[in-house]
Amino acid sequence: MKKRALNGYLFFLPFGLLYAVFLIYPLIQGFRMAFYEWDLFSAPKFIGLQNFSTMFNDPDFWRTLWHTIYFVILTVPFLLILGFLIAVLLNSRIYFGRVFRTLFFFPYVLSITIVCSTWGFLYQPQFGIISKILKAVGINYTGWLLNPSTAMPAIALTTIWWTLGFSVILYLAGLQEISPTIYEAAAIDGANSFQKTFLITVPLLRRTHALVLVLQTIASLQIFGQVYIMTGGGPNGATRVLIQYIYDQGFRYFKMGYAQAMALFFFIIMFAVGIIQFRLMLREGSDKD
Amino acid sequence: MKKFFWVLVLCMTMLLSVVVFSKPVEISFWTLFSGGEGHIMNNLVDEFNKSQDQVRVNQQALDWGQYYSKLLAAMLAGNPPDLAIMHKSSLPDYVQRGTVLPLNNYMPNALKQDYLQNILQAVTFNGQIYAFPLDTHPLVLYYNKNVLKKAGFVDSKGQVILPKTFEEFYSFCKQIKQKTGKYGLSIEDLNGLGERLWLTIYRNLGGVLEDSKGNFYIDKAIAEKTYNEILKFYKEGLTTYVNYDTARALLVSGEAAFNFDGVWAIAAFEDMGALQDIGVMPVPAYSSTKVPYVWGDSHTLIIPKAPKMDETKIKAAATFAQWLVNHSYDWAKAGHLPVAKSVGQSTEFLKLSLRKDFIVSAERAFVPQVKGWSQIQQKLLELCQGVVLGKTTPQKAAEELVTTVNQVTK
Repeated sequence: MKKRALNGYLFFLPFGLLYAVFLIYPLIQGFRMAFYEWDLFSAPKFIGLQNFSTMFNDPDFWRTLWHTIYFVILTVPFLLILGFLIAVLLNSRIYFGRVFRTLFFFPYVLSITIVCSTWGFLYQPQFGIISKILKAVGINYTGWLLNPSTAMPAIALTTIWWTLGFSVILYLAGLQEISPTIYEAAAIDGANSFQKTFLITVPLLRRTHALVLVLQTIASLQIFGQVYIMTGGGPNGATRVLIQYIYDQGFRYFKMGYAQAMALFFFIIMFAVGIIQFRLMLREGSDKD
Repeated sequence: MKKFFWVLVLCMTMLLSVVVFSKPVEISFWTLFSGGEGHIMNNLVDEFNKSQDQVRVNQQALDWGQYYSKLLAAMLAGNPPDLAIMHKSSLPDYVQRGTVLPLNNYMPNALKQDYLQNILQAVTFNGQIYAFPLDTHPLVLYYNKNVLKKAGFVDSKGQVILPKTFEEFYSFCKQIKQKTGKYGLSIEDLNGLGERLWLTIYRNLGGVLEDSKGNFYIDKAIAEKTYNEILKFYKEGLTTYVNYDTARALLVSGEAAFNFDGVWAIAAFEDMGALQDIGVMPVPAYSSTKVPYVWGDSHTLIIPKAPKMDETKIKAAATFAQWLVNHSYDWAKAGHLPVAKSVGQSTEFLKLSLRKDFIVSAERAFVPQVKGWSQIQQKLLELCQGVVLGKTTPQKAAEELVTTVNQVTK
């Protein structure tokens, strides 16, 4: 028994060592740096909680944090609801089901640069196709990405198009685990398809809802690439998000300690959101499983 | 036996000399060029390596988006490249943190004399030169000849008439709008507008970047005036708020008569085959401007400081850097202007299309020289967008800008 344990530790050692050196150690150092003033080249200076008080009084911090949360609000509900509805449609026996499945998943395999550049052209007000279509039906279009109030929704739309396929795949996998006998029993009891979907499918997919919600929320909180490519944070800072602000403070303004403090705060938010969502989604019915 | 001994000694000496004298010094060279620029730099490095056997340059081309993060990481780890590209505007942040080697002893006096003085001064801090400037890439004014002709800006010989001052440029734009319905000018919404054009107008209106003590400074009244100068083009419909690709497309398709962009755009216009319709001129200054200025950053070559510096490598890197500067007429094919006077006057450079029409921009080029510039730059971009979109007023923008400058420089 003792030898078995030793063997176990030996097998774990190579990975454990790398994990400790490249993940645990930097993580601890990162936490520590949040309490220092450090411009990368001179010696770090301990300043206690000063980075955090700077952060709470920094309007740009709150503005970029709000933009990030706004983006989550604009994307996650659609990724959840649309993902579910499309998966249910694809799961029913329709013609060309496999073709549609591929089509919905296809955007997800494209690189962020291709997706964002392409949508940038679509949104373009002088030559873009959206502009041409809207003008043909008499709507004046001046470019959603160029207007501070529509830029973020436009980026959200692109992101939904891009990552919806991932939600659909997760839901399809979940749907296949529901036993057809339940639907048969419901049919015998006289349930219509609306009742089947909302009284059987929705509650039985509880775990999938939780998974999609947590994964997509965390992904959306980390928004950076789409903004960087499509608007550069503009117009007038309307799409500047927290990850970009942290990067700027650390690597462009040489304020590594301050960047670390914000990153630490953001990490705690994400961690809390993840735990709360999982608890809420799994609490009821956990005894029934 | 004695004879054999001497033969052996001779052989050993020869062998040793082969090892010692013909093994070239290898230096690593980090760059951030891709596309056309990357291609030209590759060729130049190859040409240098073939031209002699003392120094061998190993170029490593990094992705420009991650270039400075990687350079920073390499410097921190104590393992930087022997030679690296750095923008002139980034130098203060690195020089003032003691990460760049001073080059006074490695730059020959002849080259110091040959450099344009505004460019050499921009890489000099406390009397020490910290970089070999390779080029400058200023803002210039492109124009579409067809639109100008349609608006009547053409002389009896069929040549287009160009504005001589910024006031004239403004009235040209108004007339173009009236006569053709096209936009007078187009400019991209990010750095082109908020940083490059803004700084150019600010300085040509008499704005300075240093106070009497030599500290970085922005004059609030002139900053406000600058915002108003830009805003009037948007208010009167002489231009429209567009991104980079669109700004360029508006010029090429004849929807706009003028376009502000960097000299690098000329390579793109060449590739598109659009150069028969498009011309280029320096950004005009105001009639009241005493010394005309234009925003123009530079690619420079720096030697990063390392814990262990090897004198032979430093000299080898300096040799290559000089060679590159002296061959920058090839580099100029990408649109950049040479900053060594001898290269700027060379036939190799002057035979490139259109270059002589804007070479004067090189001696007017400047960038702000202040530690923490990125933070001010970010503010400039946001504020100018805010002004032209009507989200803030020129007065409030100028106040906010000065506040940020004070925060960064305190």
